Amino acid sequence: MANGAEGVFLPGQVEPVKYHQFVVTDASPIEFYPSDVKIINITIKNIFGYSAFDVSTVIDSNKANPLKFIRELQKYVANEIGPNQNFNVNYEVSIKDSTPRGTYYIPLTILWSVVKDGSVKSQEDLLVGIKVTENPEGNNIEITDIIVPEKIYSGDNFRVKVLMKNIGTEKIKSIKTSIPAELPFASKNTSNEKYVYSLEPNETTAIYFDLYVDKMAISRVYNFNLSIEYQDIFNRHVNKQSTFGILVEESTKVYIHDIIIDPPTLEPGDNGLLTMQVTNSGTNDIKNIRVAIKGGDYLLVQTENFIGQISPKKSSSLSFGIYVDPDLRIGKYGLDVQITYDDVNGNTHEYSYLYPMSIVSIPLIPISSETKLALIGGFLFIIFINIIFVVNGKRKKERKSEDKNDKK
Amino acid sequence: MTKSKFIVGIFLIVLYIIFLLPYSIVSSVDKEDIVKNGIVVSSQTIQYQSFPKGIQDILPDKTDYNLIIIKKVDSPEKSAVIFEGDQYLPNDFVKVEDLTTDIYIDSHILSTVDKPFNKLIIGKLNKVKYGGDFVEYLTANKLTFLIALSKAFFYLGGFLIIIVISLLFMGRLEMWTIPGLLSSYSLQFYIINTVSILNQGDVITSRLTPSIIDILVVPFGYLFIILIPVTVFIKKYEDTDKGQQMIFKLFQYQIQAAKSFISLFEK
Repeated sequence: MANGAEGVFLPGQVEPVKYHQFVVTDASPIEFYPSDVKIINITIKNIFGYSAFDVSTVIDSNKANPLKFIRELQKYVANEIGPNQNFNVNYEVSIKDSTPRGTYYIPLTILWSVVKDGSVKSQEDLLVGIKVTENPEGNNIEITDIIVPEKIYSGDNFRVKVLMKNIGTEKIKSIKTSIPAELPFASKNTSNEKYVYSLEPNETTAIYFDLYVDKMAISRVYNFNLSIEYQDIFNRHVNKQSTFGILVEESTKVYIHDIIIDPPTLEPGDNGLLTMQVTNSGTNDIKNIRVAIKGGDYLLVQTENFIGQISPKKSSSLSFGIYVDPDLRIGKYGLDVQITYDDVNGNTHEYSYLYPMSIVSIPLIPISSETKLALIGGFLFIIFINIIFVVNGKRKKERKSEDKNDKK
Repeated sequence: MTKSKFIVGIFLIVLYIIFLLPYSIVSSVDKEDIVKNGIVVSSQTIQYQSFPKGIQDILPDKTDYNLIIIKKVDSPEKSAVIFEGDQYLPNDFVKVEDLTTDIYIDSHILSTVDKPFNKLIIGKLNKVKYGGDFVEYLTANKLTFLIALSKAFFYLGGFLIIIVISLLFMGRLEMWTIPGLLSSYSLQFYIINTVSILNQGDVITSRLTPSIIDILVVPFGYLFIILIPVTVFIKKYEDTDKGQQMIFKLFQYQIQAAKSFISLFEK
């Protein structure tokens, strides 16, 4: 509004007042949703001790952004508003679709004359606050639960289950969900996006994401962002984000790199040596490595051994004496190698490995027991044939000599 | 030949064949590295996570497994069998095929199993279809000694039946006992091969590298079809004069062969 020079205002000019003549005592409604078009009723009170004449209100649409006032930006209110008298003005407010949540102000200017039919106008700028909130009908999908394994080990496959519910009043179609998997994670499927065709009101659906974690993943908590995108009832694009964490632990810090048996073939009664190479594949030192072998009572001279410390990516060897019990049956024996060790935090871990150790029999004649049995059977059969021939031949001979004697 | 002797003879042959059956059934599902058998002693289901890490490594899937303890019919050896599929009840006679693991193991390694065992087997488990019920009946009624007796009969029965019949009918060992002996063992292998085929699907090819005995056992099992008529023919022929002369000639050849064999050692 223009003002005159040196505080003297000419007819037709507007004088901003330096005192408060009007205050906003009420406004209703003050809560709006994006894309709302509603009429707001503003109650204004003349708190000054004198009347105001030819009162009108105006809204500067440039200053009102992102609120929009479509019609009748300037309104004539009354010829006179007496002291302590209230008056109401209504404005149609339009909220843009894309308006973010927050508090916004309607820039309302009141113009009046201090004298009846006065040509100089006084002006006071008032601000009316309104809230823009999420539309509860548009906010219709709720992520009710995200179920993930408590902890996973590097190299593991795992599944994330997302439960979502339509808490709105309308059916929602084409819901896109995604968990962007970045290294050291990867999706087991070709895409890490999943689609739900439709979700009825109050319906809950579960979506599964199959992921795996790289074998070389460092042990820590990894954060994932779950994103749900859909169109709400106002056809607005809604993108909901949710974050969750997964603890990845190193799968094995220690493993048995190699087991060598010397001599390679063992028979009952043999002596030998079992050499085992233990490797620390983790990223920290491991200490107090105790190796115990179960199931080796009739095979090993000792069943326990110890290594003080193994640095990361290093190996250490230890040996166990072998003495195969002479009465031990031929076959494979499962040696349960149990390794217990402490990590840098003093936590104790266990690793076990089943090693099959063969005890063989090297026969003097290299033929199978079935063949031996067949040969013995054949030999006995030949003896039987001979006995039968002898028995029958002798009988015939005796009969011949008996016949000769009879003839004589 | 009296009628009573004939009846006794027939009775002995029938008894002989019946006695072969228990061992034939057990033996049909007992082949080293291919199929094992046993009577279920106890059964339980174990979660994958409850297995020791070393055993987890050799299990094919990360799922719950059934575990049964089986006892061999003819020995006190017990095995823990880990398998997927339907569970079995105590006293079921089962066979384990497709063995991926067959090792002696300290039963304390599997602490979740409350019964001791000697071996750990991982494979595919099935009930023994043909004759399985009969073996179950024997074990349930504590008649397992009949299976041991049957095994002894399998090795000696063929010999004994021929000797006994020859002595019973003729009062002496005759020439026909030679093909007769082969016939009886051929018949035994025929029975065992037939039960094996019914219970396993095949006999030889299940082993990747069958031995020469594995291969020969099948044609030998059919040899009795020829040998029984030969036995009857020899029985009739040896009583004729020509037959007697033939026997005497053969006896003389045998004496000559024996003399030359002994002279080899004298030199």
